Amino acid sequence: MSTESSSQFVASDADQPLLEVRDLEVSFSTSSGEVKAVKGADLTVYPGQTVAIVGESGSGKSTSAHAVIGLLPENGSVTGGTIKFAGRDITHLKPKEAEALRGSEIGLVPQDPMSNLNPVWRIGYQVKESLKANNVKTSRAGRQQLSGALVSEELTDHKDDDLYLGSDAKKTLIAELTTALGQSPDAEGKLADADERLAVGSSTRAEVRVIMAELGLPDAENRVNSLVTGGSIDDRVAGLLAEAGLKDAERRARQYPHEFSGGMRQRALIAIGLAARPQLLIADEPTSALDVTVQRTILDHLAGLTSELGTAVLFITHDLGLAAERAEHLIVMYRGNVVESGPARQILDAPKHPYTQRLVSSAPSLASRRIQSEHAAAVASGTETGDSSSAPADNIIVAKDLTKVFRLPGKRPGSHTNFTAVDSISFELERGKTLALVGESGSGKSTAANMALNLLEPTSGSITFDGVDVSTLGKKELFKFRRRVQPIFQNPYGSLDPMFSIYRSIEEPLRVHKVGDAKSREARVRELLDLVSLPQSMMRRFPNELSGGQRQRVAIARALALKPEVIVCDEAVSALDVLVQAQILTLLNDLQAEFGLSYLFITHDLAVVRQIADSVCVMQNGKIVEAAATDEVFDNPKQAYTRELLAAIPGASLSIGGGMAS
Amino acid sequence: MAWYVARRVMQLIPVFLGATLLIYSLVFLLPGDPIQALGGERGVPPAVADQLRAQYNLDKPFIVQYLLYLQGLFSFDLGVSFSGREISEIIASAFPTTFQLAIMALVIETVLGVGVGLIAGLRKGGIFDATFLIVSLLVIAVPIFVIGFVFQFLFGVQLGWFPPTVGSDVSFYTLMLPAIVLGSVSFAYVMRLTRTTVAENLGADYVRTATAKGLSRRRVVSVHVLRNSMIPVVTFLGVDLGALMGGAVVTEGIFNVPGIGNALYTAIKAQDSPAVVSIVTVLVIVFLIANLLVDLLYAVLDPRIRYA
Repeated sequence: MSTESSSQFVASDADQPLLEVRDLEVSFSTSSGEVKAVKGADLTVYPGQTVAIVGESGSGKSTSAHAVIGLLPENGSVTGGTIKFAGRDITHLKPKEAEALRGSEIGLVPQDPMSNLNPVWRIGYQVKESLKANNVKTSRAGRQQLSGALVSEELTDHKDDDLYLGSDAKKTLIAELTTALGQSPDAEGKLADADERLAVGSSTRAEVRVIMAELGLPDAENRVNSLVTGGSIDDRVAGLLAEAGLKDAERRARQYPHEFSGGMRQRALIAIGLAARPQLLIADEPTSALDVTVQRTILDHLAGLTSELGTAVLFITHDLGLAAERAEHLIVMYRGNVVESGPARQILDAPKHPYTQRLVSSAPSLASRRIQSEHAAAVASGTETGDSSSAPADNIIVAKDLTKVFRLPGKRPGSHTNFTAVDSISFELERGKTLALVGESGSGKSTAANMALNLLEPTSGSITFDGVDVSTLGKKELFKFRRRVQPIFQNPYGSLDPMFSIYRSIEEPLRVHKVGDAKSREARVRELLDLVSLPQSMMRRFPNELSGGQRQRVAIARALALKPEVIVCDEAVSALDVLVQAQILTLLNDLQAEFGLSYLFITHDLAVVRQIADSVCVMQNGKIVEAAATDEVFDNPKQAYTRELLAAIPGASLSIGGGMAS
Repeated sequence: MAWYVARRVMQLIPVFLGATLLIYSLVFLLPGDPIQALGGERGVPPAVADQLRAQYNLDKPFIVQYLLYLQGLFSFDLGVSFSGREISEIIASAFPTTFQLAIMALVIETVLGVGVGLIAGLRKGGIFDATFLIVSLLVIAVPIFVIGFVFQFLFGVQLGWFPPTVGSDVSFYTLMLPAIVLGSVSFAYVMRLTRTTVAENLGADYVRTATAKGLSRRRVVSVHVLRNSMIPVVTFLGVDLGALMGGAVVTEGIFNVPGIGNALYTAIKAQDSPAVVSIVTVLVIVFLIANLLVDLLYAVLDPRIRYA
């Protein structure tokens, strides 16, 4: 509302909030009437501050953030409250005004890197768009126009930073350095150093001066001043990507999204979000779809970058540990309301609201322990799996030297390359126990699981199920085998047929295996729904009416229908919110105690492993690098890779769930 | 890429052989004696009939006939029709007309279909959208010969905007009315396809990201929504081009367009098997080439498709 303060003015004043949201209400008009997604949320972000909104899906955290940047879907609207950005009311902006604000003042790093880049445009083009849309000048002429301060040649203060190193200038500088160094012994090392440190489109004139002087370019100051006069827009794109942590950025900018991994795509999205140097960056679950180790490097990088640029960050996550680690101030949202807000440490140590208390106690972290059931406690003194165990363990699945090689089509016609997804791994799953295969994506853990399910034929090696080599099974025996080993998959949205009612989904395996008649099957389905704590009335409904956690319960009920002995859980809880995740793990654990189930648990999340597994195999690049009992791995990790995975668990350094810590 | 094209061209060989064999055998199996049919009511004297049979190889076993036909094809000799014209000449005279008609129909349906579909997709559920959904439903539901006759009567006879028939006077102007009729059905499909994909892509995450960059609405729609929406539309248009090139027998009949459809119709009626087989063969090749071009265009629109 206040007209006297321009955004530049407030930006330099740290006492004034950058973003101030008061009593925000957001409603969606749906076919079943008005739905209030946010009911009176308050939040404040000061310049340069990192604030996290924590909450489960449907809590309104993303909706609040989208309201700030004016990206609500068409059926959504702000129905109450005010949003002030840098002192200006931006609650109801005209489309043109909102356009001007987006990108240049408020940036966004979206949630899912796989779907947020347009697949048909090159990465560089998509970064360039955000520069062009916000009128960011990269050439010297453009810069001078932008700021009168640059007109003077002798400027040496930080304002000079606005001139970036161009690709031509870099070539010339390297060439001059080569001649200058001549035959000196360390020339090669210095040139490599220069090549690495001079980032096209990112290194500023002041930085280049320092680097070149250090490396011994004669008359460095004058040479650099005359050569570094701003780069082309393509140089700046490469520079932005390099700043976001993408290696070999100039070449990468010419590639398409499908040539990038998830982590690389997220880096590109960070480059896009920060391209026009906004004062506020909204990071909406920026790493939830990524592996923990990738998550950590990307968040570290983002934190470094934003603190360097003085960008305020509004960080949205469902992971309390992550939020506490990354933000100074936490805002906890629950069902459209802000239930608690305050300094991160204070909320962790003394949560006031019951919801926050639950969130804190169920946060998976290093501190948490194996979920104990009565059954497990009773046999706690049982044998441990391991190569050294001399007692004949009752192993239900034994994999020996398992290898899977995929043939990939090569570049030239008719040629092919071999890719070894799983490289000679051996593991044993003891009856009634849980074995976890842990690794990042691409480590071969899911391929191993598919071989254990006999859905994929091993290239070599064998899998023995209950004493029988599964590769020798005939058609009929295989059918029987399927009954004894059941899978639960990662994505509860994709693993249930949307056209099948819940009843039909759960009943299908019974029908396929001709178990009982229609009546007894219905009784069994009811029983199964009870087991997974779903109301029996749910069986007439369809998957799209259910939440993620409910769907995963249905998937578990379906897996249990045939009374299997082994369940292979392929990332069974990775897609779920923390609280739901804790419930599902407890459920799996109780079922194990009740029916003596054996679990082969595939996950990338070590925090989950600690809660459910008896023993762990850590996989990297298709090999098992470490295999031991769970406590052993956590308390005394032997391999550097395992330690890296452990350190990457969000909130590892904080003692969340302190009540459960030993 | 080059390897992909080479492989696709090699794939033409079995398709080509299969199609010609199938057509040849179907024509061969047609009831009635084509030589007797030539004589009409009076019949053909046995000596003349035998001589004609020998000339057209009709006295030889089926497979020999087929192989002799292939031999002719590979020496670029499509043979002579029963009516005594060189078949290559028939095709050469009819094909340009059909080609022009097909391209005109394709341009009409693409420009109108994509334009209307885009607006309808952007304003899904609005009056514009509803109106054109009904229009497209009508066009799809009404048989093309009805549309043809109605347009001919309305714009050709009553209003006199266009000549009602084409005849020997083939020009851009005279072909306009048949092109509109020919393109009308495909227009409805293109419009519906565009509308659906545009509406779907509008909700895509990358469109939201593009908006978050600060791009104008116009740019978001043209760069991020429209290009991605064109991928399925191009597939449809490619198949449609092949079908249009095949000559629209009905439309060409209504407007008396001297195109390939008309030539084919005449040949079938006369049981002129050499002509039928040759014309169909050329059409098969045209269809396959149109499809190849679409597949290549695909890679331009969608870089995820890699040819290996």
